[in-house]
Amino acid sequence: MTELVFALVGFVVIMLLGVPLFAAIGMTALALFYVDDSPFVTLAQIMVERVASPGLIPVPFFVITAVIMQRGGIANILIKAAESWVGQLPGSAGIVCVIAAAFFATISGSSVATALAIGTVILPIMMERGYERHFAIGVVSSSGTLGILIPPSTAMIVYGLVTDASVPRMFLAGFIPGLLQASFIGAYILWYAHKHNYPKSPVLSRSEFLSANLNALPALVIPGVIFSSIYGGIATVTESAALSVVAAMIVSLYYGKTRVGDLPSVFSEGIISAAAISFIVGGALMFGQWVLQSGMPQKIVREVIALDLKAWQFLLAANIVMLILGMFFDGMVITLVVVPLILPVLIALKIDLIHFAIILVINMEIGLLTPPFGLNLFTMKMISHAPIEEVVKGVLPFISIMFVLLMIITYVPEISLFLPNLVFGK
Amino acid sequence: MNKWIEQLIAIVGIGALLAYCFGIVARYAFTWLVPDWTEEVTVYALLWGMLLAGGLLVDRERHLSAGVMHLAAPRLAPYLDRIGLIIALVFCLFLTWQGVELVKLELRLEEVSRSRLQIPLAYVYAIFPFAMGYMSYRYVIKILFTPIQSQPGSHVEEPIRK
Repeated sequence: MTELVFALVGFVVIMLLGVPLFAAIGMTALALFYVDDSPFVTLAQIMVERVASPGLIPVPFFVITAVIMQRGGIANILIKAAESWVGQLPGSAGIVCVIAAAFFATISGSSVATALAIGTVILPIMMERGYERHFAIGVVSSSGTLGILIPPSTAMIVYGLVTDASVPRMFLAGFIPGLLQASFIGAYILWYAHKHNYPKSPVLSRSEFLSANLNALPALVIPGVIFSSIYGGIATVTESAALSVVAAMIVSLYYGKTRVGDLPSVFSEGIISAAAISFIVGGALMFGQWVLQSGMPQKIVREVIALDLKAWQFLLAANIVMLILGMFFDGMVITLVVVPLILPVLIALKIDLIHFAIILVINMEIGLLTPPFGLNLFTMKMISHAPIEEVVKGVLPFISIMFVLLMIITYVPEISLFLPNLVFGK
Repeated sequence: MNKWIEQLIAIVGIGALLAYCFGIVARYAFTWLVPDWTEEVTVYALLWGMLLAGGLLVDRERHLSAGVMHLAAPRLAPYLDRIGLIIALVFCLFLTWQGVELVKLELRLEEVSRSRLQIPLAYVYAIFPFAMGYMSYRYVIKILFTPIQSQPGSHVEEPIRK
């Protein structure tokens, strides 16, 4: 246990120095292997054999889909369609943002991509309609986090790699919590907009309504392809990820924002973005290998059992730790470093791994919004050109909403498990 | 060099997608074909693509990092950056050496892939030391040629880079 504590302290220190995460985790693993006198050649083998494994192929494919959708102007089309339905509500632009983000999330597995794609279109509209900038920023950044909760989700795929939990089950488990989050944010927007007398959208004629919705239909084919292929038993998650790239290419070409000549740059951008994740996964897998060899999880289980913690107490403690870690570290680091250590504890306490995946993802979402290192904060700062203090002020009420959601999801597991149990059985 | 690598990444990415989609279509349309190599080719192509991207990520400062110390001591940020780059360089050099050892081992064992293509794994894995070597080279360039004065404050506003 002592060497792990020293290694984790060392990991935190070199990470805080600004060492790229893959190198920080990898160096930690290296030190642990050195102390244990284990052969190093396995580390290179882990990188080449497990980083690009069949289980991780969906990540680059879904990232490529997100890049295609981002460049293909799909966000604009989804926003127009959503506005045709809810335009007459007070604060409609905010509600439209949430709905469009939820739909975009069914195509993109990334929160930053969702916030970026939706935010660049809707933020200027909200400002034009007189919304306070900090409120508009809060709406976009919190809606953007739906990207990793509503399936497909790259975070869930990586969690599946670490825990061997079923990715299709996890994808289904994310639906209701995602809708719940969207509803909570929507309800707050309605209340806030009513209080500040925010305007409604201009009334659309019947033909404008029809045109906005018909135009969005091809975009909605993409989530249709993803989910019908997975749950119709036609394709695996990996195959549906590949099919989503093809569908996204066809739809983007149809909308005319992307040309065939743009595709090579879209592919390279997608793979480069996915590589940033894969390198961290590689470093973390090295660490995971040491964890496995050292028998450390079993020692942690013994410690937790000695504390006589109940499942609800453990979940509360885990949430507190993940919330604190999420303020400083990327969610991927928490998944790859913390989850392998506590996995046997989850099993010992009979906590459903699918349920825990959703808890973890909501913690990751909150981490995206919390200062000082929430990635969505910096995405919003970049889009809005607002000072970081204003961005933080904007997201604070939404963090409270997310916290309420986290507590509900943590202590009512049926919300997450209802759909997967319904479709696949218990 | 970067442009050339980017084009190579696009080619392997498109190749990976084509191979994988061919596998899906063949399973339903050409059942007699039953290609057992499509997933393998996809995995290896994406492995090559993502490893090659490592050097570009270094060059464009897109490897994810969390420099909290940069916020606490902005004046020290350029020096902390330099320390971070050196640690990353050491790690990449280590992996380059490990990669060479792995390729040598595969050459000795003459291992081949599982599909009917029987690709020698030493050739597939050869990308690893190459990519790690390229990343090391990009780190050396960054350490040697990024003037310390030009960096201060870069981390204060956006400590996490992606």
